[in-house]
Order: sequence, then structure tokens, then C-alpha cells
Amino acid sequence: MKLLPFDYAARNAGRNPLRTILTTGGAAAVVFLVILMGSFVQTLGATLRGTGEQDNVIVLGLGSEDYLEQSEIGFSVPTEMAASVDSIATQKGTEDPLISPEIHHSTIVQLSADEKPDPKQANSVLVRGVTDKAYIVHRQVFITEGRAPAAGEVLMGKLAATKMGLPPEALEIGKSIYIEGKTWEISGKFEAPGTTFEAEIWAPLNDLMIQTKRDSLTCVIARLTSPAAFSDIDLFTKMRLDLELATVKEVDYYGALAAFFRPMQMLGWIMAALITASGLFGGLNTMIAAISSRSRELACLETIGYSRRAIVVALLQESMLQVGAGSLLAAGLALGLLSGRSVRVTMGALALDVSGPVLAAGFAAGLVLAVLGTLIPASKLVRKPLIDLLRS
Amino acid sequence: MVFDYFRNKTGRRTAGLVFATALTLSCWAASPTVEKAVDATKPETQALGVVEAKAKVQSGQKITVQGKVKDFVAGHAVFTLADSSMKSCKDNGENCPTPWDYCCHPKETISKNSATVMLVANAGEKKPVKEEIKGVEGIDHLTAVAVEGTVQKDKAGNLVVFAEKIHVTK
Repeated sequence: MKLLPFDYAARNAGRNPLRTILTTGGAAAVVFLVILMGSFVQTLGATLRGTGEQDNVIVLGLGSEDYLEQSEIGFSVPTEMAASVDSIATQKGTEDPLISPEIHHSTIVQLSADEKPDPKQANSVLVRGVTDKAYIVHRQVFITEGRAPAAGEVLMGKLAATKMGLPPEALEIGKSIYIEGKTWEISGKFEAPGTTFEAEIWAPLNDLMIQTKRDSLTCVIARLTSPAAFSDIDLFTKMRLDLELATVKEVDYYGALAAFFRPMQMLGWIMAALITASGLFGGLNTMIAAISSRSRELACLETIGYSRRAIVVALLQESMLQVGAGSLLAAGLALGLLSGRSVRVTMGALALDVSGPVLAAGFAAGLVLAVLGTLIPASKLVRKPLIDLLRS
Repeated sequence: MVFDYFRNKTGRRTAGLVFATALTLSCWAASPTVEKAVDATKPETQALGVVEAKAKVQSGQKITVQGKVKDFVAGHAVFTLADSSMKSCKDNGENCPTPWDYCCHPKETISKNSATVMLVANAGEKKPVKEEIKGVEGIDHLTAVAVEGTVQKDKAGNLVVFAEKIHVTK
């Protein structure tokens, strides 16, 4: 089969600049939207799964295995655990077991006592009451600015401002926020890439207990010597039935949370597919018009000896060039505008990750667009007799 | 002649396969301690309910206690035993996927009606056998069992039975 020279396809892009801009721009819009949806869906799942650590176990109140914030356990549980379970990891160079007693308290955070939060606009933020052990048990957490909070102070997660709907500069070190009837000074900031921690505010456990008038903990998170030691903690909770405890591996808890959000993720992918389909139909319209208007030109090519298959290949090359350029433009825009951008979601906030597989999904959508957008109108064209095409 | 057989490649492969199969089968089978301790016979002595046992017995006493299997501890021959009078969520008419967790009852009720059963290798020991007990003689969640063993009771009212014999009464 004698093919048309490649530069024929390349030069055709310049023959009708408006049509080229429309095709390239349309393809870029479709690919960008697919990348946007894909990165959101992928980041949501990865963030939830990334929050749990293999060696960590959550000891929480019986019956609260599915919703940690409802859990209540006795203040004595960490001590009882430390005394009864040998397989809890210890702090380097000490005998101090790595047990982090915590309070998880979702509340509306204000910038000052005078601020009247709009109930429709205000977002509750998870305030986690912690001790120094939390920074060792949760290895993903790094204090990037300032220091750990002392009494009356809080440590802000990197995405806490996004969750609160505020610009990051509103929560700079030294500024104050108002939680549960008390003003707290921001002592530092932390990052925990790819986890839900980043949308949280951490406060000293005792201060938060007093302020929220709680006499119980939400949970205890312990680091084990190995993931296999989980059964030792489970054994402890099954022997101390009076404490009314349940045990769940941290990875399993966040895995279940990810599974809970799976319908939302599916919806995201369905939306991406619908965007591709709508882009395809829009593109088809343009392509049919474009190819139909060139039927005489294509018939001439056939007259001078090119087969219809070679003409379709040339049209495909043309379309691939334009959609490819659009896809590259979309990928560049996505990397520049979306990568690392924080987005508010129900359980916190996410920093969008435009990963390789997501870009690949965008390029795949572009490829589908280019191939179907050419083949469907071209198939209509190749069915017509040559004489009709020349007369058209 | 036997040695000649193992000298060739096929013979060595066959021997390896036989050894690997035997090793796998021995790992699959329940440990002799668990198998020996669990049977489907009825207990010889009168069994107490969990609540009754919690109220009447003292630490160190040998008893037989009956109830329904609640939760298992993975990797150990340990389970929690619920008093037969406490209805599971299924018996309560609720469409619960895990009726053995008795989640339809208040936490305090579950705690009061539960005891821990720990199968030990020898009488007097307080460390559980590190083998799964689920599945042995059909033991599963909500299976009715009677357990013979020595009890340990603490100030908080927790009752642990260091079991030497477990009867599956269905």
C-alpha cells in the first residue's frame, strides 16, 4: 500500500488554522478533564490507604470499628496495654512503649472568638489531641516549621487551611485560632504527604480533654514490633472484656474507609468516561464536517493513485497530530495547575497527585478521541463511489 | 537399589515432591493439642452459664461453663464465650452481617455476658496454644460449646477459663 507522505498530514494542520485550533483545543479540554477526574479519584484512594501503617494497631471502643470518632475508651487503657502486652515497640534506647493515646474531635474552627461562623459555609476540622508519642507512632508526620505544640498551642496540618476554606497565610505561625471556646496559638506546621493527617490540627491531649470536657480517650494507637504481633493486642482486648475494647489494624481501618469511598471513586471514573464520550461526540461533529468538506480533495488523491486505506491512514495521522498536541498541552496544564493543588473533601483535604497512570489515562482518552473521531466519519466517506465524491 | 533411585534426577524430584507434600499436609492439619482437646461429646459434669459462672466461681476453681462462641483471636486457640441467654443479633431478628458480635446489645450487657476461653496445652498453664481453633470439630461463631477448665477471675469481673477440654454441643 502506497501511503501519503507524513508531511501532507502535518501541512494540512496549517491549511485551516481555526479548525486545527478547535480540534486541538477540544481534545486538550477532554484530556485535561479526564486527568482532573483521574487525579482526584486516584489521590482519594491513595490518601486513605496511605494513612494506615502496617505496624500500627488502633485500639478503640467496642462497636466503633467503622467510625473512629464515635469511639470512647478509658483513660487507663494505655497503661493497661503497656503492662500486659510485650509486643509493643519501644522508643529507641528506652523501655518506653510506643503507645499514642488520642482524642479525635471534629469541630468548627474560627479565626477569633468574635467571628460568627456561617453554619452553611463553615467546615468542621478534625482536631487531634496527642502526646509526644504521636510524632513517633505516626511516622509519616514531619514538623516542617516551628515546633510541637505546648499548652494552649496547636500544630497545623499543611492542608488544614484548605479544609477550613482559608488561604494558607491565615494560619501562619504565631497567629491564633479559636476552638471550643479557647484561643490557641499556632506553634508550627506539619506535613504528612499522601495521608489524611495533613488536613488536621494537632493539639496537646490534656488541653483538648479539658476544653472538650472529655474524661475518655477516642483511641490508642500502638506501634507493634511486627505486624504479626497484632494477635497479642487482640488477645489483650479479648481478655479484658471489662474495658469494652476492639482492635483493628490501622491499614485495615483506612482500607475500609477507602472501600466506603469506592462508589464515589467509581462515580469519578464514570464522569471521566462521560467527559470522553461527550468530547468524542463533539469531536465527531467537527470531524464529520471537516472530512465531508474535503471529500473532493480526498477523491482527487484516490484518482492519482492512492488507495482509500492510505487516505484513511493520512486522515488518522492528521487527527493524531492535532489530538496529540492537545493531549500534550492538557498534560502540561495539568502538571502545572493541578499537581499539588489542595482540594476539600468530606473527610479532610487532598493534595492532587497527577501521577503517571493518570496521565496515561488522559492520553488513552485522547487516543480514543483521535481514532474514533477519524474512523467514524472516514468510514462514511469510503462507502461513497468515487464519481459521487468528485461531483460533491 | 534405593540409593540408586535417588541418584537420578527423576528420583530426587519425586522425593522432593513427596517431602514437600508431607510438610504442607502436616502444616494444614490442626495441631494435636487442639484436636485432642476438642470433641463433640457432652460434658460429664453439669455446665454453668457464663453469667452464673461469673457470679459463683472463684479463681483457681475447676468448672464447666457453656455458651456460644463469640469472637476468635487469630493465631491463638482463644475465643470469647457469650451466655446462651443473650440473643445474637440474628436471633433478635436483625439483618446483621456479623450477628456474633452482639452489636444490637449495649456494650455493658455484652461485657457482663461474656467470658474468655483460652485453650492450654497442659493443666495449670496460662499461655494459650498458638493454633487456630476455628473450624476444629466445626467450631465457628455462635457454635454452642461447653468448656472444662480452671478459672481466673479479676477484680473487674473478667472471667478467663484456661480450658483443657472443649465439647462442641451445637
